[in-house]
Amino acid sequence: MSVNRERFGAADEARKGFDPADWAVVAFLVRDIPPRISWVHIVQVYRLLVRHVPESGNYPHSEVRVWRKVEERLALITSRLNDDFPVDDPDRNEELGRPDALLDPDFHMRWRKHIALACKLTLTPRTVDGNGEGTLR
Amino acid sequence: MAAVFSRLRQLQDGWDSYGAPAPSEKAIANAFTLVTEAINHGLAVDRAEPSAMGGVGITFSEGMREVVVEFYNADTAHALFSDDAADDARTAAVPTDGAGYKWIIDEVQKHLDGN
Repeated sequence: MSVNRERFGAADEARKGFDPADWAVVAFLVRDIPPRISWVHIVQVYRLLVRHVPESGNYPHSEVRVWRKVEERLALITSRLNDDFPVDDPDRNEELGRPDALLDPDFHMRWRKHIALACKLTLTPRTVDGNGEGTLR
Repeated sequence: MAAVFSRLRQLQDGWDSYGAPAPSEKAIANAFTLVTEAINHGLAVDRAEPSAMGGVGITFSEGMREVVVEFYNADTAHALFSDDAADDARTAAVPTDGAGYKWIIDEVQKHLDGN
């Protein structure tokens, strides 16, 4: 999941390059991301970590990455290939697994709901009036 | 809703910039069938959107209650029933056949009605 981390920049930077009239910004706390989750009805263990992944023009960009334990090893769940990660990315050489193979719908849907409930509205979509003053709507 | 499904068909692999597969024609067709059946049963569909898992998600809601049904590219489907007021959520596999559609529509109706 792609996010911006407050530690590295202001909330408004999350919509830089986009029309603020079209985009709100919501936020959740890092502690809302459990470091290790096991869904008890299926014996699965997932690990979640936040990685700071600066992008050109968006230094605060970060990613919440998910691993799943498979036969005592953790595989990073992603559709990307190892070479798609920057050379200095700490997870570039991780064992990878595709979401359709490793991401159980139970986990995926519950996790998304969990984060949706944790999110708080930080910035509303904004219009700019004739004087260039920012107003809220 | 037809315009939304038209846009879903135009998505390419990597549409989310993280390599997510584009929704397959099967997933789109399954989702469209549910939407059609739901409308025929008087259920309002909130939104249809691509899933990063590869597929299409359909959302129904009423107040704090919500049902999301995701149709995946492999011709499977899963539903999340949630009630934010009760801090409750459950999931279920959804068969992608006629009986499955009838079952999920009944379940969506019951959940949104609070039963």
